[in-house]
Amino acid sequence: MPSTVRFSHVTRRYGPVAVLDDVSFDLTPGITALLGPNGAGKTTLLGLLSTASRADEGEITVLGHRTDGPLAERTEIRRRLGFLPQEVRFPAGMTAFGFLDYIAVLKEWDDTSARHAEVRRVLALVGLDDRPTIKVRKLSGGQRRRLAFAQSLIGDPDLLILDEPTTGLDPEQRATFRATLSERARAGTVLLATHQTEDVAAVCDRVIVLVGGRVAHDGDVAGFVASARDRVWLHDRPVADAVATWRDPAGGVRSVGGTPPTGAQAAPPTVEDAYLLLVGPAAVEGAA
Amino acid sequence: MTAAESLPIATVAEPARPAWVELARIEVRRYLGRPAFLIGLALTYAALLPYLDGDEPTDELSMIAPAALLGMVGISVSAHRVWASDRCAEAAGPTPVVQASRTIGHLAACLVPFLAGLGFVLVTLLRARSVPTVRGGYAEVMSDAWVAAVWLALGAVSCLGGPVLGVVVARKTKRAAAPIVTTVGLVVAVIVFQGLFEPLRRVRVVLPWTYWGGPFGVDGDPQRSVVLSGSPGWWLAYVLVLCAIGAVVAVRADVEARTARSRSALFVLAGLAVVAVVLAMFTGTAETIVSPVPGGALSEGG
Repeated sequence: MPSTVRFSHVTRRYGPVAVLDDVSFDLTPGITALLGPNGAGKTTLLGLLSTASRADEGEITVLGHRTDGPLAERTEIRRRLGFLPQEVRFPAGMTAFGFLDYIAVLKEWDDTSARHAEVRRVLALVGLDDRPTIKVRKLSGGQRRRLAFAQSLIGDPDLLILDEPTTGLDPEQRATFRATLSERARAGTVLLATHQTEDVAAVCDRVIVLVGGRVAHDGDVAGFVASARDRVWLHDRPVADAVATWRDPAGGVRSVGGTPPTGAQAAPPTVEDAYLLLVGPAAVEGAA
Repeated sequence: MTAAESLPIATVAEPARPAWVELARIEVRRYLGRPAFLIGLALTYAALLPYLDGDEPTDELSMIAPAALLGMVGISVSAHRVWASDRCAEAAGPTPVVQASRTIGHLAACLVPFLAGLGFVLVTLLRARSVPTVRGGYAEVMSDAWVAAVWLALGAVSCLGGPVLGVVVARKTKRAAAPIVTTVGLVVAVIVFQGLFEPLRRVRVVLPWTYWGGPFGVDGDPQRSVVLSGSPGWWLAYVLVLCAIGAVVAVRADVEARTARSRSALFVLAGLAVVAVVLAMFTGTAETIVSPVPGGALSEGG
């Protein structure tokens, strides 16, 4: 399967600090999760991928075009790109429809009737088609997040980059989001940066974990979860040297990592367990 | 073979027309709907009412209405329109339509207050032409061309310059108070450079709004009218060039629009502005003239 995106030995520095350090990976159609602790370089990576910024070293190609090429080449990438930033500040006086309509113009939908039809389509995809004329400021936090997601779907882009898309969504909205995303992934490539490991398990085919600006893991989700097999324990008390422990809904205490005490039961691992096992020690070192 | 060559090249058809055309249409419509603009428009034309029925003389003081209510208000209107569109653009991340195109759309919307101000000036000029007895102050002694240049600059170009300045301000800073601070700063500068102070009379034309005469008074006669030195024709050209400079500066705020061509345009415009303002200072009426004076004694220009 041809690569949609290719990161090749990419380094990005802010001053003397390498926020991304020699990062390489390819993306193919499907949904890839991008996990990592705060400050791992996820948002920087998405900025490079979306042509918002440039790498100091290495090469990034998207759909065959270099992100550090001339404006015409970057424009070709932007025509095929949908991007949902982590934080969206909405203009105060606009309606939901007006907001999406304006962004559609920025995505070169210059035919008014076709543009309006596209806006209605993406509003329906996120379940806001019954409220097109409502002012954005009157929408709830979850509705605003869905509206922001809607703009990224305009034009059915070949590459969809989503930064924390489910923040602020209630469980029902999150389920709808997952269904929309799964449908979308049949035709294109999606990179989903998130802290919601349940979303990764639910919709992603592959997971990349960034730690300290480097790729700490790159593989399919099943393999990632399997890396935590026999390292997650259920017991009546926490495992002393565990990376993390919390109360299990089924009763007892769930411990991730550490040396199991006598009587501890191995529990089926999750994406979150695998992530904590991978990142936990690094996070502790980073805090020291 | 490079990595780029090993990947499939994807291209999308170019849009039928430049994006700024559609953006201009949208921004013109939105400017027309701004309450601040509509209130300013209503008050500006309401200021004409006392003149339409009666023999009240018109002078450049009449031009304060469009300059303040459409021009200065336009600084804030434009700046907030730019910031609103910036928020939309930020929500979408990088898009094929770049910031410079959006800026051109906003600059096109500046024609809305300009045309409103132009209408005001044309009505005033037509009235002064058709009813000569109502020409007041310097309009009584100066030529039609001289009066038209002053009024067009003060009453119409100011309605273009204010909103263009608003676009520039919004492109240079995100501080919410910036449009108000700019407006207040401009008012203070105009007061200082209005021509009241003798040492500043010749250089007053560097400002985008200044007086060319009025009842400034002289020793022993505080109501005496004065015509200030300089060429309003060249000054009109100067303020138009300032608007063009503002437009180029605003477009060049987008790093992707900083082409050699736009830089050359900026240098050429800056050169034209210097030439025009120097000619506005040193041609036309040679000295400050205190009325009443015989019209033939005036050295008019521009």
